[in-house]
Amino acid sequence: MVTDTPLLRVEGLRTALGSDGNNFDVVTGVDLELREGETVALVGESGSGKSVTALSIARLLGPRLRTVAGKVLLNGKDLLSLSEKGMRQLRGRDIAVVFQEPMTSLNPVLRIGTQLAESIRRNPVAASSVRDRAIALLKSVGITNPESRIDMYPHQLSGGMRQRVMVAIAVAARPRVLIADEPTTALDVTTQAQILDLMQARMAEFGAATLLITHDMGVVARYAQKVNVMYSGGIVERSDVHSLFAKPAHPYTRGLLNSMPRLDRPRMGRLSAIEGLPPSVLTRPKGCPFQPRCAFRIDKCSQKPPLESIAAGHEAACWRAREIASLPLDDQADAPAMRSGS
Amino acid sequence: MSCFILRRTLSAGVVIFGVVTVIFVLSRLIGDPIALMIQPGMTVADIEELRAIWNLDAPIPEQFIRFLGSALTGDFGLSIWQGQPALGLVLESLPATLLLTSAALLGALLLALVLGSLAAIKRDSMLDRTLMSLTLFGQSVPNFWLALMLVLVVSVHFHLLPPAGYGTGSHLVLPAIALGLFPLARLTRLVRAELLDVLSQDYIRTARSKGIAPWLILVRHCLRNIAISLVTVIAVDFGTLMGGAVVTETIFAWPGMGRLMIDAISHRDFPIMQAGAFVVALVVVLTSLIADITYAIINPRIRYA
Ligand SMILES: Nc1ncnc2c1ncn2[C@@H]1O[C@H](COP(=O)(O)OP(=O)(O)OP(=O)(O)O)[C@@H](O)[C@H]1O
Ligand SMILES: [Mg+2]
Repeated sequence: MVTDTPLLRVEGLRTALGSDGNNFDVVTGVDLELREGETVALVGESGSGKSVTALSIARLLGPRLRTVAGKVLLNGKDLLSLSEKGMRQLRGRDIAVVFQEPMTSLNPVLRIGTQLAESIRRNPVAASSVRDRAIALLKSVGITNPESRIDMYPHQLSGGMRQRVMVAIAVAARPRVLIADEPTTALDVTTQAQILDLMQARMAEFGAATLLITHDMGVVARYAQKVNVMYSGGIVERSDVHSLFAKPAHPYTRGLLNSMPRLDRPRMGRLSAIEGLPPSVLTRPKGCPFQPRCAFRIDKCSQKPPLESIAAGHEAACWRAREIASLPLDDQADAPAMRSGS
Repeated sequence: MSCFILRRTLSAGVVIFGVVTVIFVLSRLIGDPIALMIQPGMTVADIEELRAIWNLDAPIPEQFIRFLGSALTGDFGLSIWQGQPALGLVLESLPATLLLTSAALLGALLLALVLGSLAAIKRDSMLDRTLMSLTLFGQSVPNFWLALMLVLVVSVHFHLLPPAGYGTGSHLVLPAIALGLFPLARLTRLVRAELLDVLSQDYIRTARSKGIAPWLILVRHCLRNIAISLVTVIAVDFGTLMGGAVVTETIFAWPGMGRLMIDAISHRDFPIMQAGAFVVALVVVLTSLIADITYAIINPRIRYA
């Protein structure tokens, strides 16, 4: 059941580095929407601000980062205006997070079972059944032999196992919104697919919404219904998966898609990754942040393009979005242009 | 495991041998004990006879060998001043010292956990800054001065606690404070630093993301990790405190090893010094062994390694 009012709605989220006067925006004003039962992807290169966005939503930023503007509405209630205590009551049950770093995100001195039980106990549950629930959860995320693994310490598990445990911890309290920050990076493809499948199955069971953060367009195509493409702290394109893959309207999205290895096209020597590096938060150019790397750059790009609708359910932040969306997606056409443009 | 025990036993043996040797040499350097025992009217023969009782007539290397031989059987000779077995006298005074040092260290540790956690949680607040200044003060106040001030203010002026003596809990308070202030200050700083480090770890963020209570995060997720680094420091502190107890015990007339040793030194009573050094070395070695075992128990990463 997909209702019309979004479960989670992020408006104008801005998160900055530094707690004093001279702030640098890491997230420059992000809008997102998640509806019940939906999986929405947030994609972008390393350093584009995906994790900071996720942590801002869950209010789990470290001391150096601070959300300075925006709203995070969960069922219409603004999380950013809640007290720390009020926020704590929502964490785990209403909004849960799978963190990016499986090696450091589990406490090294506590058993897996203990760490899992903390999440299970967020809902009323008989003390005697906590262990059984924990074993069942471990099993549901594909951990073999959960009866003995439950008493192990994190260092006794492989990276893939730990990531499964992280997923189990996040879904244990049946959250309504799950933020999964690259839940499968650094795992082999088979394990990756397995964990994502299991995670999706768990979330589908209780009709929750997932914000899936990744930089893998293959993962997006397989698991998400909607995509937000993030570049240098802002959303540059937003669409349902089909039109994004069929008609990418932002040059950066084209670059991401072209950098995917594809079987249905002739091999091209090398994969065309996007030339150049994304700007750091300190050296972000005026106007469109992508212009130094862009093959379609025009003079107007020194003004920042707004995120505008170019078709039903498809928005892009590029002055030439409509024109670019109508071009065939062909790495031969724009990859050399990209190279010469940089 | 058995290899570990063997290694520890060997190194403990080396440490104790070293300490005992150093004390043997030092106690010969501070002067001739017999010179203090000479009474008017003693003949040279009487004096030589006294020397022979403690083997002092033999060459030093021979004295050392004989000393080691009997020490191995637990015989450290008779106290020159009190005429009783030296080891017995030392062991009699050991419980008082252990009571004082344990009370000081335990009190310091518990208080340091509370104060250090407060300082870390309220980082950069007034409270944090005040506590950190106080710990600097606490680390720079000389032990004996603090002891004297405590006696002066608490006992002499306000008559709240006895100024000296042994036996009841109220006798323990002042010496324990005098001895415990330094480790309290040091451990408070350490707890704060360790907690700040732990609080910035990814797994604390995971714990927070579950929505569990802050005290649970502190007690379950932080303290256990901090304890791993504290254990070793505490073991070292325990040895240092046994040394510091010498001054404190003297000021408060606390009948422990510290006072016994001071008396022994002023009487050049080398059997007591040697037995005392042996016992202190043994206690320190045992403490560090206990610390290593505790470390292995609370740190799962080395238990299975
Ligand atoms: N705690 C922090 N202190 C300083 N800078 C930070 C901090 N966290 C993130 N940043 C900066 O913010 C920017 C965005 O980082 P973020 O971790 O959100 O990227 P990401 O999109 O998640 O990348 P990745 O795919 O590598 O996870 C980066 O330039 C990073 O250097
Ligand atoms: Mg990230």
